[in-house]
Amino acid sequence: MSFGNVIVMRTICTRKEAITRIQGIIIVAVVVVAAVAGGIAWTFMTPPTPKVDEVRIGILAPLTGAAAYFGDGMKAMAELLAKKINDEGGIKSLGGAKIKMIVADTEGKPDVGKTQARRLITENKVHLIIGALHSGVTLPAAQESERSGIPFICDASSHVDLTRQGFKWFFRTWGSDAIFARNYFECLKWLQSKTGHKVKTIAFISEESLFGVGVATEWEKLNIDPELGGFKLVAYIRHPVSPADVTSEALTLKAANPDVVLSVNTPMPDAILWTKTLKSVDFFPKAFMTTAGFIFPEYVSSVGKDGEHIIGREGWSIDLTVRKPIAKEINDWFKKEANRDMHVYTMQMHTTIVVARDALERAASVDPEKLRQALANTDIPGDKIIPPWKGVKFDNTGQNIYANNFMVQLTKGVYRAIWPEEIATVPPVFPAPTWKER
Amino acid sequence: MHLDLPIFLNLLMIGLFQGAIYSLISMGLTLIFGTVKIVNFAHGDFLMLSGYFVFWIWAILGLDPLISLPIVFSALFCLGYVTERVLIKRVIGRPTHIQMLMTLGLSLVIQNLVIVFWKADPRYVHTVYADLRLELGGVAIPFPRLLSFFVAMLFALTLHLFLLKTTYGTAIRGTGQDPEAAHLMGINVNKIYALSFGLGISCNAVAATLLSTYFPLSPFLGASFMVITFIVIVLGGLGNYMGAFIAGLILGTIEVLTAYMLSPLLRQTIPLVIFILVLLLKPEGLFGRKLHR
Repeated sequence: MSFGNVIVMRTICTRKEAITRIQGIIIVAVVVVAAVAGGIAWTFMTPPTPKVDEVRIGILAPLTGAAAYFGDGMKAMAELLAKKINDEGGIKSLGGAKIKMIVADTEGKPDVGKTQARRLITENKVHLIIGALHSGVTLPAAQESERSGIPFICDASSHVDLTRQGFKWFFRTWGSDAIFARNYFECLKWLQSKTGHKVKTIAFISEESLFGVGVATEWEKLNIDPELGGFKLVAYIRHPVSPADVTSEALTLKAANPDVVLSVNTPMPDAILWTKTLKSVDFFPKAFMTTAGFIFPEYVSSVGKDGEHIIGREGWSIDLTVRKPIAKEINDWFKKEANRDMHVYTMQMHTTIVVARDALERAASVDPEKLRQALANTDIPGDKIIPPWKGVKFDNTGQNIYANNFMVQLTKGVYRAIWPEEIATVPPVFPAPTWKER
Repeated sequence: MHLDLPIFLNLLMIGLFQGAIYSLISMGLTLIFGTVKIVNFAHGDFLMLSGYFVFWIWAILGLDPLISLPIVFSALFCLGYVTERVLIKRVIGRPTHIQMLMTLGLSLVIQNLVIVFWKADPRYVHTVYADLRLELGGVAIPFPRLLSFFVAMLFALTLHLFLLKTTYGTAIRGTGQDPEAAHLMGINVNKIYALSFGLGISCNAVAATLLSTYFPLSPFLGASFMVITFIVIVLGGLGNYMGAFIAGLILGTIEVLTAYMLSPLLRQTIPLVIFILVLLLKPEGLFGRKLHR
């Protein structure tokens, strides 16, 4: 090969190398540009996960109106518990997001509750709602939630229809009237077998509210059941909420003389009025079985010994602090922080917020659908909540399948558990002594 | 429904006792309307406030409600007087909706202040005679209610004599009839307005004192009584305090008898039916002067 050919060959080879090198550079450049472009495209196509600084929970409670006493306690528990959770680090799966409670006054009125729910959703942009005590308020409020696709956790409304609406976004930690009404008759059956005293006649007292009528309707159905009921209904007294006088009603009861009276009165003043009026007409049945307004410490301080032997359907009793460590822990904490005793609605607010927190942690998101799924899959064991239940688990209607109540009797100024027997701390007094015998 | 003579007499007496309370509250409301020409929608809340005054005097000083009555009466009179001078006078003569807003707003403020200061917990005054009963021929009469009835009657008589026989009473009646003529006669109409408002509010003090001997107190006490109160003042004739007194007794009795003989749910329905009938047939009320168009 001549020197010239070598030069040509070397030039050609060099050019080939140069081409190869250029090609390599081009290839690398194309890859880099593609990667950068892809990264930019991915960034714009996939929105960044927003950082959650706070979880807003709407609380619907009656802060004014006849049930203001209950709502006051619910608000206190909600705000104190939020602070406690935030002090413990907030919602950890959301990077320590703080819980913010936004409490709205329902005044115990359905139209106000509905408006407040709408306001919480549209203006306050809450991530979920808890409430609202009164069944008549919870229903329209839950409808707002359902329409907006925001989870609603019912803490203390018991009307059966609440879980029969086909709502997807509604969950109830509390029991229903169907469950609770049954508790009265089961306890009554047990009282008869335990003491040997038979019951033949029964009377109902119910206030004209969704709750009152709902409970009384369930009683009527259960009384027809030959296994549980079968008593002769000698009086059925229905009266407006917050009456100015119940003497006529008490005299009606006295004339009918039932062995047992089942009563439902929400406002405490109504419960106090009934107790004092029954005394003034000198009538007290073998068992006066009731709930709501009769089962609070302030009822006891108002009526004193006149309330003795009242049997109440309860969710909360100081006896729980003996049997459940968490009940004692929360009761002591609440008493110290709020300077007041717990009652069933503060207990239920605690239970419901525990459920909400658990769902938020598992969802790791405030996205409504993820939160709803997390709530639907709730399975909290009994030792994490105050009520003496197996736990909290929702069925496909949103009802907590483990919710139940127990019965207490006012004994020397304290509500002591009497049924079921496994949690009883005192024997029942049945039949109760008459006013003259006390 | 089982009804024998002892039960009927029992119901009749309870009806009159209940009616006496309605009469007291209504007399105050109609006195205010008759003179100041304002419907006081905060009237029930002053009743509630009076109840709290009674409770706290009992809780702190240990005074029985009947003994603290003069103190509570004076306190509520002063409160009513000042309320008129500061707030109500600004809406006298103004359109009705302005007056309504003022008194409704006052109602909300009073209720919420009570809740803020004293919470929504119900209160109950324990008296030594709370459980006393008089048995007369098979009829059991609760002593607190019997005592309330007599005190209510005594107060009504005193108020009647005051309005009929005293200079101020005459001035109140005259101002109610014709404020301009009263002014021309040398009556300080503004002062009479304040006096009337104070007197009307202090009727609540008497009612609340008597109620507190057997009825639980709460921030929403007024709501239990205001519907029937409005029915009573219409039945008695707006501005006619003696008409309100008699109408209160009548309606209290009708209410109690209805609840026993028919149904407790009709307790307020029957009075409302009577209310509508009176408006249709005799709008000036059973004891009011005929309205001239």
